[in-house]
Amino acid sequence: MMKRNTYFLSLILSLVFWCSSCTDLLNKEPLGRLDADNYFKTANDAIQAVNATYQPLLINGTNNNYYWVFGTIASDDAVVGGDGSRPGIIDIDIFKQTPATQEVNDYWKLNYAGIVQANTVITKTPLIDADETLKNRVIGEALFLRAYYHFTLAQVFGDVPLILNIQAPEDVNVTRTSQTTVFEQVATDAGDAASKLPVSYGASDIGRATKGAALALKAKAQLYLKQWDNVVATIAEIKALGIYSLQADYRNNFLKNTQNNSESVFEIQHANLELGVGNNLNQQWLSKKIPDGYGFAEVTLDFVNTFEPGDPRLLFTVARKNEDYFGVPYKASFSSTGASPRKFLQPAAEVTQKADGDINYTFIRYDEVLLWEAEAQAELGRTSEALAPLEEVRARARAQAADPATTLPVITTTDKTALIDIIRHERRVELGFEFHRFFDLVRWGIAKDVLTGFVEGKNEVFPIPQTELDLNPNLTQNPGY
Amino acid sequence: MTTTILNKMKLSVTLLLTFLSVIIYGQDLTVSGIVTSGEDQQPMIGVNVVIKGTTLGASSDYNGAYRIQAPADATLEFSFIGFVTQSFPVNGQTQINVTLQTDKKVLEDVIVVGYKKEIKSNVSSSISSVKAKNIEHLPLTGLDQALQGQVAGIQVTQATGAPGDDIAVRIRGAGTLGNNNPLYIIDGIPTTGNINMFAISDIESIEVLKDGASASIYGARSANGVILITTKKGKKGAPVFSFDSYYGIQEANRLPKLLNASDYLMIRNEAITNSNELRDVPHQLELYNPAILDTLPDNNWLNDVFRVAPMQRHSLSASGGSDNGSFYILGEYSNQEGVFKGQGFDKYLLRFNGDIGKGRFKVGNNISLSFADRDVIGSSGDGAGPGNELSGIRYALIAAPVFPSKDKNGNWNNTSALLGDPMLYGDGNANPIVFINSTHWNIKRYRVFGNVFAEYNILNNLKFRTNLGMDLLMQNETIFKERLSAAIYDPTSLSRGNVTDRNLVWNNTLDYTTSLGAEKQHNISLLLGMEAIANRTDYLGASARNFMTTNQNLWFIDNSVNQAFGDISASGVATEWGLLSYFGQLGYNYKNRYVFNASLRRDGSSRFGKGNKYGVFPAVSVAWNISDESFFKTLDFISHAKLRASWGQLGNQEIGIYPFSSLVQTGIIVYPFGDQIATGSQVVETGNDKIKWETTTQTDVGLELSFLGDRISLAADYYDKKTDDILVRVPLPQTAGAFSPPYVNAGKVENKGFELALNFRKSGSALTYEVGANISTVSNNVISIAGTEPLLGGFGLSDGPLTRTEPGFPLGSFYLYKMEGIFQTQAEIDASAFQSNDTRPGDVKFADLNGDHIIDDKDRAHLGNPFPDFTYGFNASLNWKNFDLSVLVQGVQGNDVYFLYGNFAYETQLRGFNSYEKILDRWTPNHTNTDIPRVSLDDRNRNRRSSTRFLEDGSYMRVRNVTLGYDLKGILKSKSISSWRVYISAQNLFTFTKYSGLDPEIQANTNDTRGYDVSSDLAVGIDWGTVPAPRVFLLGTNLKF
Repeated sequence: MMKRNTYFLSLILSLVFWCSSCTDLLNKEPLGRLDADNYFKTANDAIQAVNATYQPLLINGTNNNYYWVFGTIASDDAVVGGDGSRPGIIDIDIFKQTPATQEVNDYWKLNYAGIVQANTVITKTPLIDADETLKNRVIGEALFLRAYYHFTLAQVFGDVPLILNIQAPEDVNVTRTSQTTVFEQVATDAGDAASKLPVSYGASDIGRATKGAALALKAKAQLYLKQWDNVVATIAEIKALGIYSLQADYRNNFLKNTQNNSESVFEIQHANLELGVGNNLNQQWLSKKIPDGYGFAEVTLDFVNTFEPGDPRLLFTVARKNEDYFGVPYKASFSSTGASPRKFLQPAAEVTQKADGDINYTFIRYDEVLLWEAEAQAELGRTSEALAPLEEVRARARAQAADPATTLPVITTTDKTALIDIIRHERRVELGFEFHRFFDLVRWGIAKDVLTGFVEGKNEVFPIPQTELDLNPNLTQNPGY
Repeated sequence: MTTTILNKMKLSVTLLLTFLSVIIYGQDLTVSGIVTSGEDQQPMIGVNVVIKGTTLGASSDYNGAYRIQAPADATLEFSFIGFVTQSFPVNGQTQINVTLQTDKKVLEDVIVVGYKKEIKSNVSSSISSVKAKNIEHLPLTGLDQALQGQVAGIQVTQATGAPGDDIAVRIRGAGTLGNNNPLYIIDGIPTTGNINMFAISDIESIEVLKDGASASIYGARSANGVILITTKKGKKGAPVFSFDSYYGIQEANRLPKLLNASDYLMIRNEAITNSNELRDVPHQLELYNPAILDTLPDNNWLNDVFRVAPMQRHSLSASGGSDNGSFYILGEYSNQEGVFKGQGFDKYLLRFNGDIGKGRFKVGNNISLSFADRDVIGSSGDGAGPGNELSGIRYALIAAPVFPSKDKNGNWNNTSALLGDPMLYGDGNANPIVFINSTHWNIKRYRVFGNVFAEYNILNNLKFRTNLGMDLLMQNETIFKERLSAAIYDPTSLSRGNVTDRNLVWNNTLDYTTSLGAEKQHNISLLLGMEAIANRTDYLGASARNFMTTNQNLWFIDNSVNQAFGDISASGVATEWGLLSYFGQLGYNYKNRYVFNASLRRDGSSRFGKGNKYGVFPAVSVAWNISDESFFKTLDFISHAKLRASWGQLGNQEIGIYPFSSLVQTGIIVYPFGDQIATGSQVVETGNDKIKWETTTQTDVGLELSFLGDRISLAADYYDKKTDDILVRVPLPQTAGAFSPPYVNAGKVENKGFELALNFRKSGSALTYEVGANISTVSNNVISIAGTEPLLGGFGLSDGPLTRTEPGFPLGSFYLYKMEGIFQTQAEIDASAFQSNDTRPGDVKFADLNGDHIIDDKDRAHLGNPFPDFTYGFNASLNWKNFDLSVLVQGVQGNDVYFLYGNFAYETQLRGFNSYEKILDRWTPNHTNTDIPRVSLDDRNRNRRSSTRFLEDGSYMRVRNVTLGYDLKGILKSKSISSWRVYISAQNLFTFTKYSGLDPEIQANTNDTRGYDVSSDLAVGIDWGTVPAPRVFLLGTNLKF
């Protein structure tokens, strides 16, 4: 009896201890998703990571990318339309936004997601074993994107946290950096990026940041810093690349089949693939009188009237009564102002879903580079140097006018103040509804004169989101909010 | 167990001897007599009289008289439920009068504790039991109903009234910021979810391990309490067959009244007028001409989406046993259609429990197979997350009454997109009926749950048991969404997903008991064990967009007509986790009077960081059966008294599967380069390699008392439960990236409370009744979140989070503006703190809580508590002759509910949504005595902001169940039928509440808990408008033969 029990007990004990040796039970490697420790080893890992860095650029259905609300709706070019389903956009139009305004928070969050991803790429790519040219390119793209996200954040919020490293858990409560320092860092990052990036890509990589794009972003930061000499110098580098020129037809920049052309410096890509990478302005901006249109942007009379007589760009930018509006005659009732924007919209037949448009948003076009050059030269008092790039832009428009002989006369004034005003006006009509206007008004210090409801000392920037202030005690709110 | 076998052997011997004696003597006597009750000396009807060792028997008649033929040397056994069975040798007598005594051994009930059973007097921790006899006569639909209101210290909430919806069970409050669901152990096999897949009729007993000492033996999964479920086994004796069936109807009650078309239009015009006052000229809105009413319908959408729905359940079981083994077989079908159209729940269950023994060896099993088929329409208005997305109730509540619901041919249509005026018809483009008809969401769950065990009695008092269990859940989900408009279900799509969740459990225990000392006064028990658990979950899903056919027979991925790139996508993932544990339990008692128990468990979990793989969880408890003391014997009105105290540590490992690891997601669709899609990868979760379990330390003192021969019993407990090292994802600033933040062991939460359960029962020959009541309090308080910022929850509104969890306040405390009233005059506005330039009389006046004369975010404060002050239950059952009556009442008192749907109910929006009829009581210059502000589409004053305006008292008392039965046995007088009961029953008959939403019984929504575990309590009690629990009327029968 005892003997049998001894056998039995040893059987039990061996069973139990046999399992205790199977400590596999306790060491589970994550399944199905890559552990960060095992990641970022190959060239492909780096490419995949930098690809994801582009994602926050999209003006698609999920990003809630409201850059256009700040740049255009808040400006004197547009008023908010729509059905009121986005109260935040109405608030921004009339400068009643609060720290709780959803669109403000969405924009903050989206751009910092891009910055964090860029920092991962910038920090980790140098450590992998891969072709140096490719590594340089990837790092260059990430530097460019980090600069882009910081730039637009500083445009919208003023002083913002400048994040240049992978943050340790104890370092997440960041503080704000002055807008000037942020723009300076943007210029530095963009310059570094330019030194690493190729001038152009093959067909399957169209849309990636190029040397020209990086230089142009650098120039834009310098423009915001009013470093006029530097702007001129950087633009000289862009021109030296020898690949940029204006399209003969202004409209080529906004048509599906003629995008990514010689005028495109940095173009945010969209595609109607029903994969969430389409441009949803095609729905958001389409008149609400058209099926599935929301009509969030409506064109002010002020904008319509600002065009010189016969300027063809009015028709290219704005739809008005009895004009063709993507296949239907435009009626005055299509918007509360009787005018709607045309850019980023396309005929219904071109896309499978309205919200999945494939017209790109070109963040920097070569015509804008020319206008920066004009502006910088004028600011430097070199008015005659300013006239050439200005004329290059006007000449293209003039050539498309019904009667070029009487339209858009060549500017010859050398009066600095008068010329600056003319250049500023040219920016407004050349780049209408491309999300630049509000930032320009603020940059030029004339927003208070132009915008109804604008409070000086407050509305130059938008409020830091309340959610973020709640999460990070080191952040401060912008004055007046 | 050995003793049982020995007893069985003795019994067999007795049987044999009896048989022999029958042969030898062959001479029967006629024995007769009267059976009376020792309690009231009344004759007892229906007492079983059996010749011991045979199945021969008789029963007493209405006068308590019995008559039986028995051998002269036989022994007669007299038994009746609730009375002590007594035996009398015949010894040649022909007249034997018997007095049966009520069973005072109720306290000696055996209850199930961790890994073994224990006599109740030897239990020194806080455990509540629900036995089959408490519930089996009630037509309950799920485990929630078996526990709701029955047990002190446990709060059960069904989040919505949709059939098959999950339930939330909280034992002694919410101890963690994460998952607060208890651990379920069914016949020794652990499981956590989908508990309503089991058959309620299978349940023999439910034990709720509430305190540290009872639950600690389950280690790293025990912190939220443990619920042990034991299923029915066959009993020795003739087979018992049982057929149970009910059929009933359900209806939604307490539905709110919404505006009719003319009031709707009137309110909209008033809101337009009010809005236009503050709008500049180009943005003026046009008034609607009331004459258009003639061309518009007047729908009552709630009438259209709710219906009277049937429910039924039918089950057949057989059980029995012999000296060698026992069996229990059950087959059950149940069906519950939803009171909300499109919802339904079918369930099929098969069970076989059996065991067979030989000598010292015994093998047995408990196996259940089930299939549940559920049609889902989201039943909470938040429209997101499991059970709530594809929400039909949302559209039924907000759809405008003037929305043209049917076309000329009388078909439901969905034409608002063409009508083109979202300000009148709503923008959702969703006719609720068309929405329901276009949403086809079905979840099929197949489950194999069971175990096979073997026991071997190495010595008479040393038993080895090995138990292998499997919980296999397969889920097959189909969602077909037919295009409604550009905004909803565009394009038509089909998605199918399969989940296989496999849990393997192997546990081994050695159980030793001995009694030492001259009088065997030192009783010692020792349990040693190990347990290994391995889980793997696989998911595979595919979806097809632009799915052309609505033919249900073609709802498969293969039938996607347009198989273009991008139209079909697939996804799949798997997770694995494991647990390896060793545990021991030591029990000692002196004469069953002084009881001491201690346990220790060491758990290794794959979920914890490398340096923290093992957690150790100790517990001790003591009890003193005071009534066994000689000095106590004089207090004879107290039949039993026990004092107990316990302390134990518990763990929680429910923190996700790989919290230590930073995870990178690959293959995400990110960006089109050159018009071709590019994929990308990014970190989606950051890990913490120092992560470990959270520890709950619980102290409990309890008192159990019985009076007057156990007629009155009372159990009272006080507990203090502190949870340390709470694992939480502290939300990172958005500047840190868009990924989920890492878990850190960051918090401390305390729950304290009292529990009191009272029971009164009286057994008589004709009338037996039992009345029970219980009440529990819980005070929940966050002590620390380790210096991190407050945790926010309730993100459903763009206006900022509704709840804020921080030290000094309960979990998920409502953090709101305070509504002070309605501004009556411009002068009052001018004299008050500044709210906005556009504030007008009739707008809400908010309190300037920080006194800076500006109403802004700094004027929010902790103004609501989602936890009730107390919860209670009351149940009564009464048997009189062949009638039985049961009543079950349950309630919660003193919790706050945020009526988020009030944003629609008491407001108008730019989009044309309907409101409660109560909005007619809004403020107007001529009607100022109200707390509903003026209507306005723009809400410039932000009357809709998160404030106490929408915070309501969530207290309710619900008459859960009233059942009246009659046993036909008395009429039929059939020998073969032991009982044939018919009954009528009503569920949720009455609900008493001041709450203005559809149902005060609500839990959490995915939308609100975004970023947290949905089982967390960081954002509970937020009501987006839910499908209410239906009122049910049933007719049923139980037949036993």
